[in-house]
Amino acid sequence: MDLQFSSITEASAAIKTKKVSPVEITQRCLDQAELVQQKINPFVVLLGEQALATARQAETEIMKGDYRGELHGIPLVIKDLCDMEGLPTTASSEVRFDHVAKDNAACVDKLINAGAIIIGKTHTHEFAYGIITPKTRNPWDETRIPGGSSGGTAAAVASGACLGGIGTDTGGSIRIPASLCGTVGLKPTFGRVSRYGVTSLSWSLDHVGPLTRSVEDAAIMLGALAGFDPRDPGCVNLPVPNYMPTDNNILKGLRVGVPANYYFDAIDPEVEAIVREAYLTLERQGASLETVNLPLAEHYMGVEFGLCLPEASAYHQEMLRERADRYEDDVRTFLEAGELVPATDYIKALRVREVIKQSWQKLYERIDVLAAPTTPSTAAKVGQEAFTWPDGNEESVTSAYVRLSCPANLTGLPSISVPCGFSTENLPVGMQILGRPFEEQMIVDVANAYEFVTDWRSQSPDI
Amino acid sequence: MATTGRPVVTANRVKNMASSVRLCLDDTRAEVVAPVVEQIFGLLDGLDKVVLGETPPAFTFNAHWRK
Repeated sequence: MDLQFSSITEASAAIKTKKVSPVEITQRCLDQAELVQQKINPFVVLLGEQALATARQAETEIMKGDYRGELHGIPLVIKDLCDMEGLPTTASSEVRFDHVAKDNAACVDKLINAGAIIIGKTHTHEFAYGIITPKTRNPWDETRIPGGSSGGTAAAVASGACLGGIGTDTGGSIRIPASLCGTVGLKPTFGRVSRYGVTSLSWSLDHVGPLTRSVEDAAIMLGALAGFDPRDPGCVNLPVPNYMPTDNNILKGLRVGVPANYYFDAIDPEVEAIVREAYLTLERQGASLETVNLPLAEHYMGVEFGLCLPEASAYHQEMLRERADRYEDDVRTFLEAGELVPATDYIKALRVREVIKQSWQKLYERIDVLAAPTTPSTAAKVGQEAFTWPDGNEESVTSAYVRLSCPANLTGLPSISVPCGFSTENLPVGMQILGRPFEEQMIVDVANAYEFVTDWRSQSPDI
Repeated sequence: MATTGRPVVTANRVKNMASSVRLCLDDTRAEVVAPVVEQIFGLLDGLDKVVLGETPPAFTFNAHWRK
């Protein structure tokens, strides 16, 4: 077995039984990271010596019998939007040339306390404000984007440079790169994971979650990450359950919502066919497919942008006035535009968000989960600006990707993207499962049951 | 909601709006930003169709003091 391509579940079993040392697997990942860095540049920084020192410490602890759990000795990566004490948090931006973190982000602390080995920090679209991640390439095709904004983490996970990593998701930034790079990506319920120490894009839409190569691995990481933190005003004080999938027969009699509108309105026919084939797989496993109309769908993008733009501009207000020339042009333009959104329009977006939330609650009286394509297309070419849909309409790459992922941000609902096939160009396609609030266990079980009867996760990019 | 339409977002208008929020945009920047603002206003204007009644905004404030 290529250790660096093993799942967290497999590697942790080997580490626990002392068949594999944390040093050995960390070194393998670091070697692979050096290799892939030359080709697709997922990393802002590799923390080789620090990681190996931590791995040696983990090895000593485990040999003494102090095994902390599934993440002990597991090499992971952190999106460079999250603070690590004493290190720069660049947010992949020249604006942050002098920013050094004074404390660990909550998610970093949680992983370190669980015994994980942090091997590097990964690229994001600048300040997470975009879905391209221009500094990184897609491991399946280096002429294509990895998606974003957590593109570095997704590329690192897919290419065997680590066993899992942290992403953030404001309009799809965990699930979009997960879909385009062929990994699992889990955006938890709003408030489930603390955002303390994570550079904000939009306080009311930001989420933190894992990207991994299997659903079980996402469950393991979520179990470590979840929990109340008073330092994040959006964090919710609820007990943390065990998220590990328990029921491969979960789909028997489960009502899976299939959207009649919105998700398939503008989509690559090949992606649509692959996702519809995945529906049939769910049905064969016993799911009852329920066709549903998504309420107020024409307003999702208005609320997403109506909230994100002014909140991002508020966060960047001072930096935009002092360091405007250091921003990339696309981000600078969004920040300048967000300054001009009237407060009454912003508050209207907040009110419509509440109406949308209530309408989705009613929708879920008819279904247990919703299944939908994660993105309407596979990975765009580097430099590509728009998709042309079968009806001849054009849509910008940003709008197309965000359109399908933002409903879970607006509603705050948990959503997991799981690989569900490959295009004729051998590019991954993802399906997202959206559950009720704080029912991550349900979407993990559904995604795991689907993954159990398919072999998409066994495929790795040739890099 | 009965409304008067917004005026077209020209570069000159963007410069004026920006000055009211103490943001200095030169002609070049205003030309770039204007179509984005126009697009965002279009999305926001669409929200007029939602009946809001007494719906409060979806934000929370926690009056507890942190320990």
